[in-house]
Amino acid sequence: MRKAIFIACCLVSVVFASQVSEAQSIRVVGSTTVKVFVDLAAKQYDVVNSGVQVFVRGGGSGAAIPALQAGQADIGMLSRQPTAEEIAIMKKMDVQYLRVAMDAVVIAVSGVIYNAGIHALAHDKLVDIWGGKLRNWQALGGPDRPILVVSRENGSGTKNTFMKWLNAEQSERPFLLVMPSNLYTCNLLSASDQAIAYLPFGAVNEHMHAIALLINSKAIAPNEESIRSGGYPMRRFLYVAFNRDAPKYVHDFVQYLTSKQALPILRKAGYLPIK
Amino acid sequence: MVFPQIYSRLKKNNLGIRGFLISILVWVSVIAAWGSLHFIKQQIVGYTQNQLQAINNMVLSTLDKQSEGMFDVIGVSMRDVENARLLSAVMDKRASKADRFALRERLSQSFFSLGFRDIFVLGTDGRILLGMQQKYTGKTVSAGVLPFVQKALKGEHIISHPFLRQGRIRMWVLEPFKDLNGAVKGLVCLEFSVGDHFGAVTKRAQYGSSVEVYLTDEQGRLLTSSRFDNQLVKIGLLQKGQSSVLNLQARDPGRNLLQAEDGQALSGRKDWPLTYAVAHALPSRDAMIHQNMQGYRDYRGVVVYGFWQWDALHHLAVISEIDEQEALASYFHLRNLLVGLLLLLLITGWVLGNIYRHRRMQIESESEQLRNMLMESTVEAICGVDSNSVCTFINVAGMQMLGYESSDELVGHKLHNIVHHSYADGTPYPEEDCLIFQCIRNKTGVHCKDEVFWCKDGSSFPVEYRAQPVFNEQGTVIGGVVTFLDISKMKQAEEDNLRLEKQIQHTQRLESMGVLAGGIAHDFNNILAVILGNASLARMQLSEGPHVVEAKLDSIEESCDRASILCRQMLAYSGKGKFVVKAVNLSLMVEEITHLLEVSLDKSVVVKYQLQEDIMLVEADEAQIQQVLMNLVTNANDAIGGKSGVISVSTGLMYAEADYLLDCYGKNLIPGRYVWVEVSDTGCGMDKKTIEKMFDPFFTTKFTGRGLGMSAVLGIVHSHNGALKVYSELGRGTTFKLLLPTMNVDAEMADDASLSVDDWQGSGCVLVVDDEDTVRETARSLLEAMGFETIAASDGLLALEIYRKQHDSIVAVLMDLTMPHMGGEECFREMRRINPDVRVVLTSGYNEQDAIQHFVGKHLAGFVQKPATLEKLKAALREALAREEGSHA
Repeated sequence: MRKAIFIACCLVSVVFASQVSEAQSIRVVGSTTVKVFVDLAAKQYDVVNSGVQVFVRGGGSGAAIPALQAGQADIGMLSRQPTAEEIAIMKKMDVQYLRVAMDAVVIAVSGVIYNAGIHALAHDKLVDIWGGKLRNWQALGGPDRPILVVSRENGSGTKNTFMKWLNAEQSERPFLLVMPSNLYTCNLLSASDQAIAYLPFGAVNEHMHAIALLINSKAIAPNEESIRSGGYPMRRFLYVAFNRDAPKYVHDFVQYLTSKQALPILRKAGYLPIK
Repeated sequence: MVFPQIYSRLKKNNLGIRGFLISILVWVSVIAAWGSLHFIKQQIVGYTQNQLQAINNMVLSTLDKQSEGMFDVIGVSMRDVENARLLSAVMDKRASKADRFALRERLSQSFFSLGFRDIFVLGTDGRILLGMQQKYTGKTVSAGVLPFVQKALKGEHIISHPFLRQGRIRMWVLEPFKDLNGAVKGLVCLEFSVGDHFGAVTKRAQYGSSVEVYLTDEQGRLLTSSRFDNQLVKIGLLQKGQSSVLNLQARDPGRNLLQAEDGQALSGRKDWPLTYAVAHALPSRDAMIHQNMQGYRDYRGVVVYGFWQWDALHHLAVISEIDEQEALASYFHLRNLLVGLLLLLLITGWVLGNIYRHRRMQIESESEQLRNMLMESTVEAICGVDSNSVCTFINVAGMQMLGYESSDELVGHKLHNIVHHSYADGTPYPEEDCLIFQCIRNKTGVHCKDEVFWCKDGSSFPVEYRAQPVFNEQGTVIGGVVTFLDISKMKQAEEDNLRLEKQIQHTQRLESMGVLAGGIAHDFNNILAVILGNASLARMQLSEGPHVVEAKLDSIEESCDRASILCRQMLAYSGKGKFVVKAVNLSLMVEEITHLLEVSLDKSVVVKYQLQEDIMLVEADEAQIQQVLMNLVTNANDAIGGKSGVISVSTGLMYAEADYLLDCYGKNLIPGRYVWVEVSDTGCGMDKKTIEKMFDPFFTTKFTGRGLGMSAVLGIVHSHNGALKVYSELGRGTTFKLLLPTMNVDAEMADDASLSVDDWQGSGCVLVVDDEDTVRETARSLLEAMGFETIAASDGLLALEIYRKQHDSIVAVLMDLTMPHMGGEECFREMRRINPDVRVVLTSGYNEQDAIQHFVGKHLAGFVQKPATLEKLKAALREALAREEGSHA
């Protein structure tokens, strides 16, 4: 009889144990560039680790550390090197950051412009375009059409990288269109027949026409080889930052992002592995 | 009506009341489980319905809010003065190239940054006036959105359904631009993907593994992508890469396509009816049904529960569904668990039951083995009979006694007819008279030692048997068990013993006669010498005168008297061995043979007599008792062994308790009143070994003895139902106490004809207080003969205690005056404290005057001078009781 009771108890406990599970959620905030990758990774991670839910929000690289600081995020995403100020905060909070991918900022134009023969532009031309000096594609050998210059909001890691490389003043709206995310930039680029914008390398596809940079009269197209080698200038790394005291499942997710399993997802997002 | 049937069926299958109860229990638990499951299912379905309703409402309101938000955004943008100016210019077709670019730039900034994917400005003819690309200018819009354009041109903002544009499924929000008079000048249309609006909302509402919310138009076409696109591709409802939006109609395939294996599953697809949800969600329906919780097939053919509403603003149906399987998952889970537990319980019960039964059978077989072993090992014959006296079993000993080889010869046959059919003399023994038959009939055990059983070979043997009835649980006799023993050897031995005893007694008598004869001869010789001497003297003195001779003749006469007494005693002693029972007064008898005793003793031995007068009579053979006394006294004399010593002979009456009788020699002794004779000596005493063997025939410690004296004594004691108590201490002496049961007092009284005249009878209980056993017991027996009940007490203290407890039932007290511990006077005083009316009759050896001088004026009920005769006692009590009653009256 004791045996029967024992078996019954086991049965009941197994049945009920399978029903009870603690919901664990991870909040990820920051760069929309990195978000593309983390979104895909989270989806996959959800499949692998049921019970852990990952919520990913944008906001730009600049939002990452403040969100961590305010306790509104478990993981911050940055598509640029953290600033000295951010590093100071992270040290104070015992926040660790690490590279998850390699990327580059590339220049893309609308399909019509690209098809009209604009395949490469030099640094000075780009300075002129974003400076508001060059306002028609005709001046660059394209069709007679005003240039719709698209930029990103301040705090964007992509903008930060681009402006650093551009090393010049950019003019203000309404001349310059400011988009809050790379996705919207892409939407605009593909909808328009006269736009130019800077995008993460990962966002470039057959609808997004990336053009080469003319450096020393040599056109350097953005591709894995040129980016990895450093030949293409606007190379950057994508980072995630997280508290060292974070729960294990947060660490597990970060580890997943840098794991081999995440590589195909990274590729799918269009970014390059660090090594 | 059902239970009696079940019960009778179970009974037929030998399961009985226990099986019936178990089956009732199983049924009750099954019904209870089913009822609880049904209740749980209702609860779960109700909960699911609430969930679906909540989701549906949430989706509906979110869609509304989102649409309102879009309208607001466009509204705000169009109210911008510059934007309005530029739009007006474009719609009036008077805008410059720069104006057009500026408008494009401004709209882009406004709307792309909100996630819209394209922007169009349409004229009142529905043609594109301005797009994000120059090539669109002047083109017409896609057919799918045309109805919405036309609607919007009437002046209301609207959100289109999804439609196909350039290979992509898009939606538009259309906002009419009006002039100052309110006339529509054109439309501003913003493009977005389904996923950005409808899809985003419905996707957010998904949960679990099957809950989905989708939108359909009036034709049942899905306006949001299905959650199950992958499954739909698999079953062929969609092509790979194809979205379910616009490409799938929610039609009921009539069976679960996910489980269909044949290729014909999709045939006749065009004729499938719309799913229950879509069909009932359409606004054209009269009766509004919003839900189905009984289950219906969705577009995959899977049975689902659903809730839906028609959205008039977007002109579409919002449908929320959950697979029945998921909705009831917890129910199924519980059900399986319950069924599992029930099964487990049943299996465990079955296993335990089997173990229990197996164990019980094992124990039963072990006990049966043991029983058989016991039965077959016993010397006694055991056989069983049923209620008709038919033999049911018999053990080996029984068969051997009866001379049968196999039990089959007896089992199944009437036992009486085979072994008990005749008496020992051969006359038939009717079964009705048979004690075994009566045992079963009267339900009582029987014991018999004087019948015979007949063997197979026709011989018989004397048997001692006991028969005991056997009862079943209801107390009905179902048979009996007969145990019997062949007592032919025992009977033989008894007869031999009897014969031997008689021989011993005879021989012993001769032996003691020899001893006696010696003594008598000596005595006789002395008498003869006296006679002879006196005769010679008389002859010589004849001449001296007659008076001188007379004296001598007197002496001769005296001596002759003595001789004649001696002769009479010898005659009595010899008694011819005949057992003549009569009432005997032991004290008188001892007195009679004192001379005879003394002649056979050494001269150095002193005999002391302490004989109770008025002792109760016993039934005895005088000669045998005399012989016992002779033997005891002779032994006592021998024990003293020629030295000087004392032999005490005393008599008395006592009440012997069972405990007292336990260490007495005797057969079947019954507690009661006994008259005793005690012979005690101051001789050498006996050691333990001698005491053990003293009754053995031919055991003797004397040089000339034959060892028969004590055996004869014991034989005589047995034959008188008497008891013999022996107390011996080595070197100190031995005491033999012979106890003989007293004669019935009535019989004693019958002898005394004078007393029978007065037939006064007393009643009630009298407390008899006397320290002398004999006096007390005599008084008791006298009182009992008068019809009283008696209680005895040996001293005042004890009497007081008894009286304190039982004074209600005691009618009178007969009390001795002088007693140890508490005398009669004090005891009387104490009794009066308990009951002032206590009736005390005093007895005493003193005369009345002396005795009662201390009791004057104390209401003494009476006085009896000792020794109390029946007459005196009766008179005293009669008077005492009468007086008290009179005084009370």
